Amino acid sequence: MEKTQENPIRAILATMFVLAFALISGLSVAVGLYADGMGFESCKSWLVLIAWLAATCGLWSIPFITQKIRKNGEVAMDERGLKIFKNAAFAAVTVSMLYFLCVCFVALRIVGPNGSVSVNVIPAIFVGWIVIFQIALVFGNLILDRLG
Amino acid sequence: MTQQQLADMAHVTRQTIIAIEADRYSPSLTLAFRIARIFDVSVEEVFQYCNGESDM
Repeated sequence: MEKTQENPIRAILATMFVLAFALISGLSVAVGLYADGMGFESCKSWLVLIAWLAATCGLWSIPFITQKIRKNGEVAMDERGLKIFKNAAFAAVTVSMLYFLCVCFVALRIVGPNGSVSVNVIPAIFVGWIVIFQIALVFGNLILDRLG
Repeated sequence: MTQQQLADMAHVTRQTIIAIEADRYSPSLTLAFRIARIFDVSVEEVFQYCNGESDM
């Protein structure tokens, strides 16, 4: 009963996530360097984004890491914690979608239906999205932890 | 037995035990069996199903 098929699937998903993250971030830097030449400036925005994503992944994995480190058997993350985390992540994804809708709406209001927006704002929009996502995730966790 | 001792034996956090006691969280079948086994009783003696009950 204790051992289920969930753990291998989770390990495969985690591996795929890490590989995808490494591939996308590596390709982003490679494209930046290829397009603008060698240098920090050419891939600065991507490096900031990658650093933020790496920090995010690091923060998310803190409960799992502390669980592995703890020797006295005290549990840091259990089934209820995971459930709360999943629900909070779902809420954060919903908030992200609303954020992107708002961005589209604001851009439409500023430049009008026939105007155009520079692609240079995309990194700023992504950084804004990460901030919004993190805030929604943290507040979702706190609220759900109080509720149940 | 304290909540912390039960939590340690059931491999969950104390907050989970508190939530189960307060009827704010329905444990998984695995956890329900684990808790019942700790008290050496059947699951039905620890948990009862109420119609229309939902978790979180």
